[in-house]
Amino acid sequence: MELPVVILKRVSDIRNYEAIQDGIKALLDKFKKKVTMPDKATVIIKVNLCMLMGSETGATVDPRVARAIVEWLKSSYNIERIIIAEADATHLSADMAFKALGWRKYFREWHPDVELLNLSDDKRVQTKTCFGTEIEMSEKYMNADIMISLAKLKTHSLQKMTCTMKNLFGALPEKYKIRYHHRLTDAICEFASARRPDLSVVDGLIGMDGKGPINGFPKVCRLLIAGNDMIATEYSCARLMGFKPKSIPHVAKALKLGLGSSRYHFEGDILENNHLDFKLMPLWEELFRKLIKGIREKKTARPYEKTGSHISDV
Amino acid sequence: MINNKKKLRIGIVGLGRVATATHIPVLKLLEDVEITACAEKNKERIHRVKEFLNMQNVFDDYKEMYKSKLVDAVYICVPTHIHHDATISALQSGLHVLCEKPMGRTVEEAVEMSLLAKKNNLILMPGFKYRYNDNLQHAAQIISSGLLGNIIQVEATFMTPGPYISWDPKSEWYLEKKHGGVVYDIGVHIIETVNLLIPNKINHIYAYSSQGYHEYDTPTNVSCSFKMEGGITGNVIFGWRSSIDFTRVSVFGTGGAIVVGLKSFDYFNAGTDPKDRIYSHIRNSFTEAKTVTKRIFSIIKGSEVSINDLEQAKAFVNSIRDGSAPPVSGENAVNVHKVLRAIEDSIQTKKEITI
Repeated sequence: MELPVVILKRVSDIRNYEAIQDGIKALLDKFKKKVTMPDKATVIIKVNLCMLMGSETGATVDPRVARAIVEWLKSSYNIERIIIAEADATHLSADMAFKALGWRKYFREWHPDVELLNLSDDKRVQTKTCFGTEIEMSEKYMNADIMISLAKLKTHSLQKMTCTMKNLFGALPEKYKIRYHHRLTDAICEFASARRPDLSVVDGLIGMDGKGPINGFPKVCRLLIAGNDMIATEYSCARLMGFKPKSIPHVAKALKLGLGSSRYHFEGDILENNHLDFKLMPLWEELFRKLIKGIREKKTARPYEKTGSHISDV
Repeated sequence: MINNKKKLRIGIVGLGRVATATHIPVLKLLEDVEITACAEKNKERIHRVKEFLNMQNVFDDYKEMYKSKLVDAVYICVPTHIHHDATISALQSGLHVLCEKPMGRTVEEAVEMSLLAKKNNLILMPGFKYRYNDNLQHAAQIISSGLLGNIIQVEATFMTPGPYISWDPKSEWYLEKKHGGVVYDIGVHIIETVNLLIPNKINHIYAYSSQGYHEYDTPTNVSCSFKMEGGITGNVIFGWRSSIDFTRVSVFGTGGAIVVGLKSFDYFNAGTDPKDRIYSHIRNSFTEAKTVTKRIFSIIKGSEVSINDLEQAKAFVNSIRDGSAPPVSGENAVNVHKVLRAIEDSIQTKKEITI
């Protein structure tokens, strides 16, 4: 069987759109034959806009990367419809994020035919997860011919890193996703398995290290990464960040559940083991936070923060 | 005045984040107070809060709650544009009011609210919670005692990540211009803090602003220069979109200077030597440690409340019980509103505004 592929490109000048566009083109051209795109396809791009923080902070995806993907899709295939999608997050509505972070204005200017979709407002369909549970997801998200995950390269206070799989967790239409945080590993696998991406692209132009995914420091990496298997992409990104892939709880769990492959072919401008040395929160602080969080959840959790019903015990 | 033997019955108007995460947990800590009714339009919130608080008296119209005779005082925790109507109706119904900041959206609204409270002999307290901060209180005492000599200049900063990052309001209204944006969310606090430290009125102001959120025309970041009565000059900057919460006021006098924040306090004068600086650092570390420890204990006890909010609630209840003047009144809010309006006008006209 053909091994999945992960490819990495370095962008010489991240301020320059042409350099980003060239990077995306060089990256995605390698997947042209690997992605089966039907004629007049509908493509959905799930982006990560979890906070009202610009891409320069490392918290959210750069709209220029999404634009470069849109332009590559249009120039490479006969596409009928492109949708850029995000669901409401605990702290933010996706519509507000699209507006306030300038995505709506930007795509109106460059690609007015691209639809910006709030997955939380879309019609929902039932779907099965890797745990056999039934969950509701957006109809357009589930029924699109091709789904591309466009994630950010960030550290995560609970999971060490957040990338493609955590981005897919964000596709759950439910707003109060924080209620799944006490069993985040299972929840990420569960919701990411609802629909695995055909292509995983990671915006590593400016990542985030330290207290990610929102309180960390911007980390300028100048990288774009793409893979045709979500686990392989997570593996590769973990290695780049300087982590052992199996030490990432959701990656290890997803591998056990057979959601992807840890064996893949890597091709890049820099070596995968050329660690970018992403720093995590200090261990003492992490342990202290966990202790306080545990007490808080027990004692002061508000009703909407209580456990969700979708998470299986598997 | 309320009978001291009876529990003070408080009603909550609006069951959004500020009520459920801040005021309700605080009020539940006070033994001589009980929350007897709530008013909220959103059915989902009503359902959640009924379950969470075991609260049966939930009205979908606050005026019905006022008429019910179930409450002696109310907390107004609704979006800004409803503050005026909710407060005026409460005062007309003979209820004491704690109104979340800003106390109304305009100077006229604040004046009307303040006058009605006075006329009906009721307590009207704006929710200026930073007034109860130990460091700011200490700074205000030092300045009023004359230890800084004549005050000559002030610099004040209040930066936050913004409402959708540091906490999670349930709707978009914070970004709508009619609610005043950052001027009425953050500006209100820092202007009130300057007023607390230096009672001289601000009478000239020039402001610049920037809009950091695309497609929302509300300002997100503001810088102003001002002049106060007595010739004191100063600068204020405040805004959203910062990666950190940061509050600091520097007051310079002919006899000394104070640099004060919510968790730090430094006092200097010409005689300050390195020893004093070390002492100051140690004291600030202790203050920080005390705050963290208090917070941890409150989490362990199951009630995560801010000390400033708790002190504010106590002050409100005490004023109602003994009929004394509250530490901050409607008139204070009116003065703050005058400055906020001048900031808005200056941003719009690009001119200096005389208040």
